[in-house]
Amino acid sequence: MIATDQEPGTLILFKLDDFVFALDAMKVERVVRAVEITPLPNLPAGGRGVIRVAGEAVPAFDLRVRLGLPLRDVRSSFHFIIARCAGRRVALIVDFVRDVVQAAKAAIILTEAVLPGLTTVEGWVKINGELIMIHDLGKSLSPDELLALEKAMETEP
Amino acid sequence: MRNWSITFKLFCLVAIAILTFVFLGLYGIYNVRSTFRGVSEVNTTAQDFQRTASEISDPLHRARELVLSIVMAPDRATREKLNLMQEQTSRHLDTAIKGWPTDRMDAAERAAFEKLRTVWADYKKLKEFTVDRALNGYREEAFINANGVGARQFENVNAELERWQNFKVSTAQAVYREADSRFTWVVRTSILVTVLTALLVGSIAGFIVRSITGPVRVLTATASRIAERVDDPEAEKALAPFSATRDEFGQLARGFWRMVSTLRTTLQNEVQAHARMDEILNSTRAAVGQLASTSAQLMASTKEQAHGAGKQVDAVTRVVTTVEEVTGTARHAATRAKSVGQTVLHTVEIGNAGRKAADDSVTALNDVRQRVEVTSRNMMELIKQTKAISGIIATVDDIAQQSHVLAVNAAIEAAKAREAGKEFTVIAREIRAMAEQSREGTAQVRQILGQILTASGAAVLSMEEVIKGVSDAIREGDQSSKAINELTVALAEVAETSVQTSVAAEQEAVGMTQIGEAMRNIDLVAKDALLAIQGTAHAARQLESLGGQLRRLSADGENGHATGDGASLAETGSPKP
Repeated sequence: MIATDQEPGTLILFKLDDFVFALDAMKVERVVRAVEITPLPNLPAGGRGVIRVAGEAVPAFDLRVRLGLPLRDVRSSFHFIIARCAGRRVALIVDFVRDVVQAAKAAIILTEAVLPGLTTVEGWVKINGELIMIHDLGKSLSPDELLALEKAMETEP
Repeated sequence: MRNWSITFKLFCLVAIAILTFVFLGLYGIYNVRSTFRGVSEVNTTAQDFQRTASEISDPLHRARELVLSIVMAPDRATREKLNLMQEQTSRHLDTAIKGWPTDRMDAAERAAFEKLRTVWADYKKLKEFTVDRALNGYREEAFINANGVGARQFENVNAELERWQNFKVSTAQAVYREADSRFTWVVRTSILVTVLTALLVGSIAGFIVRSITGPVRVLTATASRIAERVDDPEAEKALAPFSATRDEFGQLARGFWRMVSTLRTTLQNEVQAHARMDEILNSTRAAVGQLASTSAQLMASTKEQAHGAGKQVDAVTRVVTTVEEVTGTARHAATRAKSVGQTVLHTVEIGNAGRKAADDSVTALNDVRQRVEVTSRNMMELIKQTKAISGIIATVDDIAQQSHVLAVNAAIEAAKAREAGKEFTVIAREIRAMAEQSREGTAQVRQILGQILTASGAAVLSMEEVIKGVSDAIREGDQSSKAINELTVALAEVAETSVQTSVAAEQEAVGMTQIGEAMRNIDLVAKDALLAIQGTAHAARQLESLGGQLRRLSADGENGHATGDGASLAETGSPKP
């Protein structure tokens, strides 16, 4: 749930190529600039490897793979969004984190009301005339994938 | 036949022609007659057949119809009347059948005719019985009789009549066939006989005509041979066979031969007289010949002399012309040499000025090269400094990005703190706006620096090209200065030489003028000599024409006496012109 009817929700806007997506700010810990990624085998689809955040190993996922966009190499200008997903920290690789905005509950259209069954999309929001897709982090990894992620992370030293 | 006269031969020819006409005429008449006989036989047969139809077949049917009419007639008066007609027809028919000539029939036809007579007699009896019954009122009996027995018997009569007529038809066809084949035979034999007669008569006539024209041809050939050559021995041989015969050609050949003998005697007398005349003319001809050859020699030598003198005059004239041309050329050369000298001196001055200009331009170019090199070094320094600024800008950009991330994280923390972090949200947004501004600023600076670098690089490159071009120009300027110097020295030498040439040409012109004067004097003398020689040649020509007149006179005399040998005399006796 993004926000209650009374108070506005906070969204983080980020860019992938020319598209702008949004993520619920409550699930995000912080944003860091691109760092070195250590490759790790047997990660679920989109997993690029692990990064070190305050001494802890965090799996890094390429959102392009999860959203079906053309793949690109990671650049130094890219941003990593450190977020919580199913009780674990993950890093999401995006082109650029643009802004943090407040959105009224009324402005958000939930997917359940339009197309129930979509896994990666939580809803849409219109900000300053721009229609933005809100990415659902909790649903984007299936239980099998979460299991695979746990197994892969155990092999990490 | 050789001794027959021509009249007799012609008579024979005409007689044969008449006999042939008579024979062919008689033969034609015979053929026409035989053809007509066949036609008349056919005609007779046809008439015979027609008679059977009109005298037997037609009355028979008429009688039958009348009998049937009597049987069917309603009253007695009509029956009586019809019976009279029937009896009359029957009588005619009876007479015709009884009186029909049988002498020309063959056995089979006669048998058929006898059968017809028999059945007719039977039918007549039946018919009379029927009519009798009808007339006496027994009409039913008559009707039955007429349509039963009577009808069958009538059919018999009719069948017999038809058989007999068929004999007639076949006889007529046989007669026609015979007549037709006879006519074909007549046509074929007529053609054959005519062709054979024409061939026979033609060959006899050709033989007779040949015997007349043969001697004529031989006589004509002999006459033309004698016309070409009077004493031809072959002519006598050719005439020999005719001379012996007694016909008109023999007489003609003998007369012709007498004429030829007379002609030969006359010709021999003429030849003797001609020989005497020749002797007299020969001596005259020798004298004239000597005169003519002497005058011709004189004429020839004079001509040669005149020709020589003419050539001499020509040669002298040509020498004078040449000397004048050489004089003119020498004067022209002197003038040209003088003008060349002046031009060369002028050129030397121009060359000196050119060398000075080339030296000056080399100095100026050296100066330009030094200045450009200094500018180029300054530009390189500028590029280095621009690159250093780029490094600083990168650092500023990094700091701006860092600030952006920091502002985002601050906003996230503020959102989590909800009400407590509301103030902080505003600050975070301001930091983020500042970071954005500095990022945009660095982007602009970086773009400008890029443009400066591109422009400076291009300037350095073009300056290097300028330095290279100037160095080439300096080298070429040095070379042209040297070349102009060498040219000036060479031209000074040419000027000296042309002055000397001018003086020499002047002297040559003076000498040539003197030679020209001398040659003109020689020319006058040679022309006088030529006039004298032409006078001599005129005298020689008069002498030669005199000789020619004499020669013609002697030739005329010869022609007057002997026409036969005149041409050959003129050829051998005349001197060469």
